[in-house]
Amino acid sequence: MKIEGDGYCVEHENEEIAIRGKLSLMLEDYAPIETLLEWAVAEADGRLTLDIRNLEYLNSSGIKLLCVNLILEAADAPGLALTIRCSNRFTWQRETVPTFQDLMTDMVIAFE
Amino acid sequence: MDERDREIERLRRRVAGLEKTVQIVTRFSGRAERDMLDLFETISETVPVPLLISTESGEQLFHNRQALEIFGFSQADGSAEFKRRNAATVYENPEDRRRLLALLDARGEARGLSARMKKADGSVFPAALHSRRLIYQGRPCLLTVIHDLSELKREEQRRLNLERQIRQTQKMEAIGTLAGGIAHDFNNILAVIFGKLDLAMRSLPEKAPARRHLNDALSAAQRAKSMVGRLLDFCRLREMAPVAFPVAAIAREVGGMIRCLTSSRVRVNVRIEAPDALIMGDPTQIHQILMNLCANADYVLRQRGGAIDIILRTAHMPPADGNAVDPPPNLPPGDYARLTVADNGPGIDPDLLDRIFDPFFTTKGPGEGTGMGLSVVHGIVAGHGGAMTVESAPGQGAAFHCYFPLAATSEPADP
Repeated sequence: MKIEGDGYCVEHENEEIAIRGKLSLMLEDYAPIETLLEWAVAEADGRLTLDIRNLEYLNSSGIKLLCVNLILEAADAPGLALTIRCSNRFTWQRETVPTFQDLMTDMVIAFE
Repeated sequence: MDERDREIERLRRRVAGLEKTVQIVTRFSGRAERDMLDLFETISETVPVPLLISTESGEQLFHNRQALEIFGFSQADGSAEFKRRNAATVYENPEDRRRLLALLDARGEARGLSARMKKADGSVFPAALHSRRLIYQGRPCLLTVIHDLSELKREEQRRLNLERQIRQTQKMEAIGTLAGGIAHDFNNILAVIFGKLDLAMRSLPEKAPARRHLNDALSAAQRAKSMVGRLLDFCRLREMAPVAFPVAAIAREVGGMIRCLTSSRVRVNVRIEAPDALIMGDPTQIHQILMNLCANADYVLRQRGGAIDIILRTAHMPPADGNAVDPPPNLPPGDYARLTVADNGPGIDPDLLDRIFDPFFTTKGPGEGTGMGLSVVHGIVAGHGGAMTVESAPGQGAAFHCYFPLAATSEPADP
């Protein structure tokens, strides 16, 4: 499943969600991506990876999206192991992604 | 734990998660907001253009350092004072701001709108305004960038002056060539007329009535010869045996003569700032130049009174100060004596400035001038390897500057 927009791409395949580009939609415009994330959690078979190594920018509505529609959903899914693959190249990832750990203590955050 | 308890537990975890999410998003937003502000301030203080953000009613919310500078407010303590001013007050004509707002309403942006802006000291400068609407600090505002066009306008004026002077030089050269040819041919014809008149006189008895007619013809031919002589002066075709002489002595002498000739309502001031300036040429012709220029100045001051200034100083080409009197464009670099005759009369109509050196051009009434005075002055100055410029504006008098190459001086030339 793939959602493409102006300057970004969200793709779900083989229990991995990859988000690339710059994502700065208005809150209400995230609805299709919310559905994709929740569906990915529901369909996951024991593990799920979020790859944001090529996500250059994410706005605050996008942060809320990841927190609520992916991580909190994953935390409620029994036995689901969530991994986030991030990049040190982007300051916002270095500053913000580690704070996601508070939402799901057994989540793996891997920086490259 | 039954189903209901598990659901309560799940909801508790979700509420706790949402609370943490709020914290995460708030921290992220705070950082993003700070970064955006840093970015805005860095850009606005780095770009070399003045910019203002104001509300439509004119309340100023932001200005950068360059805006303070362009409007003449001190960087140290002028910021608060500037911010207190309504944005409309920085326009010389508040109507210009209304035009800007109308343009923003009609097109959504303004690009290069011409306006005259007012500085702290009340002085005015020409500007091009670029503006757009935006939301700043939660309020609808307009961002306006101000380009000061003063230097551009000055450069444009210098370029136009230079072009005008070059055109004038070329025109005078062309007229000189034409007039020189005519004068030369006319001189030959006059030689025949004089010769034949002389022969006719000799062949007539002493009391012959026809002698009176021949004498009239001789007088007319003399006037024609004099006019040809002035044309030759203008065309620099008269032979001259150059000698080195001090210009100051001639300036003083002419000053004294003009004082005697003018009415008591006209003051004549002689200011010699380069007493030792020597030039190569014909002192009589320099005398003639000063007399012609002073006679013109006296003509315009005769009724209203005023002052004639004869000033001698030195000048270096090219001048170090670009804002000094417009230098002649075609002079080789070096030191010059600058002889100026200035008056505080009505000035010269700008439309006439390009024609005043043309032979036979005059603004004087019939019988009051031949229109050859300034042409002859121009020709003599050029014949001495120099050049002339005129400074004048309606109501602000006129100044004729004659530049002559310095042969020697004990004074260093002014930059």
